[in-house]
Amino acid sequence: MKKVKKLSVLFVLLLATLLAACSDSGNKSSDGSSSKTSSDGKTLFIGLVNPPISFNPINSGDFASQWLEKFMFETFLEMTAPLEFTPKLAESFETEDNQTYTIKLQPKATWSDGEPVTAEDIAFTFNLIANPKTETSVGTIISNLEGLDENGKLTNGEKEIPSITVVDEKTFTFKTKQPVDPNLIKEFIGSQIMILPKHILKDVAPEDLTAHPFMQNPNVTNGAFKFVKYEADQYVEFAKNDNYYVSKPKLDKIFVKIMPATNLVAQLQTGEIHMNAGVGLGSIAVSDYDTVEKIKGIHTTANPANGYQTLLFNTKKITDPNVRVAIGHAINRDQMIESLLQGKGDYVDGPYPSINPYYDSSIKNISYDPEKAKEMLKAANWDFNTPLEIAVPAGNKMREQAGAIILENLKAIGLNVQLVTSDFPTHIAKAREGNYDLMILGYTTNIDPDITNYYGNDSPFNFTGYQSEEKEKLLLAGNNEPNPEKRKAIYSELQALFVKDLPVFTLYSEYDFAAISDKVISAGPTFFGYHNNLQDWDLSDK
Amino acid sequence: MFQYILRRLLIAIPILFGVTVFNFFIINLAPGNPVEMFVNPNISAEDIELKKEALGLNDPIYEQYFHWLGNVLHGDFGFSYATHEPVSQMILERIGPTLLLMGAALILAYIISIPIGILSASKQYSLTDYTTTTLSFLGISIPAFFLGLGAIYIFSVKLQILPTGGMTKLGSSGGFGDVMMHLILPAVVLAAGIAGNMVRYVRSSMLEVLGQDYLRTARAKGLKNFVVTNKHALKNAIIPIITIIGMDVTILIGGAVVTEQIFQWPGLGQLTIKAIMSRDYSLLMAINLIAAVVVLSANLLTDIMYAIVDPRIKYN
Repeated sequence: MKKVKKLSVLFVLLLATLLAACSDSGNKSSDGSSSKTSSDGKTLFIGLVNPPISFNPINSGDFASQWLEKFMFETFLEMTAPLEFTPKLAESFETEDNQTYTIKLQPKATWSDGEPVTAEDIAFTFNLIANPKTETSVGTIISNLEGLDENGKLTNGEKEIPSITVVDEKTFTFKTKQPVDPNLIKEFIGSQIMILPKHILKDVAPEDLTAHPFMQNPNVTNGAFKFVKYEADQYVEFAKNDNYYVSKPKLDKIFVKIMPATNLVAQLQTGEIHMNAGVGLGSIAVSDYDTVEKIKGIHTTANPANGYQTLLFNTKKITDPNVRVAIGHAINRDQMIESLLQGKGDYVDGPYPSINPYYDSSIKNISYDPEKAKEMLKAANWDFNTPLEIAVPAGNKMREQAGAIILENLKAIGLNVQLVTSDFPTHIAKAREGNYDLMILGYTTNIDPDITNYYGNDSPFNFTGYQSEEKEKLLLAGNNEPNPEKRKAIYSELQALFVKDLPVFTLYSEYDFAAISDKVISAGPTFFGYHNNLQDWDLSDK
Repeated sequence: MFQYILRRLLIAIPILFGVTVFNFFIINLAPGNPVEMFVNPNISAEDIELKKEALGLNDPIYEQYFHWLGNVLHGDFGFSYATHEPVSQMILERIGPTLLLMGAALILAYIISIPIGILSASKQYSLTDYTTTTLSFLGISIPAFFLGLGAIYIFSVKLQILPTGGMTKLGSSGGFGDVMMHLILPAVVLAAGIAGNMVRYVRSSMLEVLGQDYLRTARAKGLKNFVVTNKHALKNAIIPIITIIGMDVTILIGGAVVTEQIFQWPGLGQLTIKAIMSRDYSLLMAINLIAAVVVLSANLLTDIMYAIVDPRIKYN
């Protein structure tokens, strides 16, 4: 018995040592300084649900990473509303012939170590992205440039993109393969590409870039805030960049805290966070809307967003478009929006949500009409005994419930359906292999209507396997047409085709629900222009 | 004893080897791979292929395994497939918080459950017994996430006396007191489940011992009931309980996952979930290996504790 006592004493001592060690490690930050001083300054806390994967601005496969990178890396432009752009790192972003584009950088823009941001940095970054050895997630964004293949890569062992020119220290031009809609270039190259510091990374071999320490600790950046520390799955800490070329940021620090969606509400209530991240990365559950709206000192907004949930049809298994349209008629989307989303959502047919300027509202939606669905299925000689699986990804409660509604709807018209829920990696693997009948999946698209990456015949993301010559023709024509009005006509045709062939049936487009403390000034979750004026973000003392 | 320990340690080597083989192939059997988690359609097919090649995912599975094993034998757990951070560093950062949480939960659970279990057994079929049995049953049956969310609602949101999550207050310097404040809720939630289980074991173990002849003799000799229960009976009742302690460690590794998620406790559990969700093979393998080592060590320690508590048990 005495020995047991001794052992427990030892255990307690061990625990105490451990505790001391842990609390010590809490003090460290990447620059070695204690973060204690931050309590003296103005610190904003934002709640984020999805943890970022890395801080490599040219190789981030997830939206959370890209969103976080924008606090510290500038894009040339920022999209403040659909197809409205405001200059950021670029003082001007122009073209006269829709083919040759000139970017003039902000004359005062510098890296956080004091070096000027130059056209050389842009050329360096573009060449790096185009290098076949570089792992990148933005390859297709620059694939319109002359001299690159459809993946945005250099071919024949070339080292530099022939169509880009460094004119002077702050001026840069590039040329596209053919004239294209300037909005397309502004949205992709303008507001998605972030550039890397050449003077820091010029000697790194392209194949080593992804694993380079800079990508976990980007300590030379050009944005309003500097990277301080990422405590994995806990928080990302940013500090203001005193040398920011626009003006000195008003906030001293920003902490983006990572937490499960359920905790967002609790932390808004306790004041541990000032706002949620929004943009689909800090979503608050519908069941909590009421609670959040009632929190004192918090105001909320719900705005249409650019994402939507769809029901994908495996067009190789359900080959008859009439069957797909019939299933569409059987699904009660009103119920999803009214009861599931409490009215905070839209439904639209086709690949564009209603806020997209290219969305054609004249195209008739597929109405809820179970009787018609039954008739159409009979007319198409559908065998009602054919077993159909609806694959649902786990994790998003609303999506899971939407799956349950679909199941009931389809059972009601006599289809032999069942629900299969799996974790996200399994779900995506099923999608890629075409190993499903019906599948729910969420999409966040760009504003530009080019959806070749999602639905092109050969695209790795064309999960439905939807093959159509007419679609390919329209996609190509739309991408190559520089005139926005003519493009609109092309994409209207594409939307009509999508409703006729129905490879995907859009379930709902959920509003972006933002909760912001009344203390926050000039900031708040907005779907567009989130990072537009970081330097003006502030907190009041009230 | 020394020989016994040595033998057990030697047996552990093939077991660990088996565990890694099994895990490696099971993980690779699961649908999806690390590259598929890049769901950004701006990534071209060629880039996906480039990533696969860079991570060695195109090699045959057995080659990937031996490559991994070779590195591990050299003390290199490799890099995370997702973040490219060294796996050993990621795990080292997380192991402290997990041990702290588990240790605190275990100690708390035993401090609560052993006396309650004894009390419950010595007053069998009384109101105290029924109350403690019911409470322990509740402790076992209430899911950790429910208890956790409830605790957050009451203590953080309503009473505002404890933080909702994390390990230190962000922007502050941390420190002992700060960590303790953050530790209370997750430790209590984690302890509830273990304590519930433990009370029932202590109770039944004590009941069994209390019914033995030698205790009746002890009481007949005029020994005080307190001494009979807490000295003579407890000593013999403790042996099966030690087995449970060994088992609790394994249960904790799983149980801590949920609790760490709810309270954003930066431990191994949270890292495991992330590794699974991103199919981060190298990270998962390292975590599995550590879990296997912990389970084997816990079993060995349990057996050693047996011998210490009960001199009749000898390992030859």
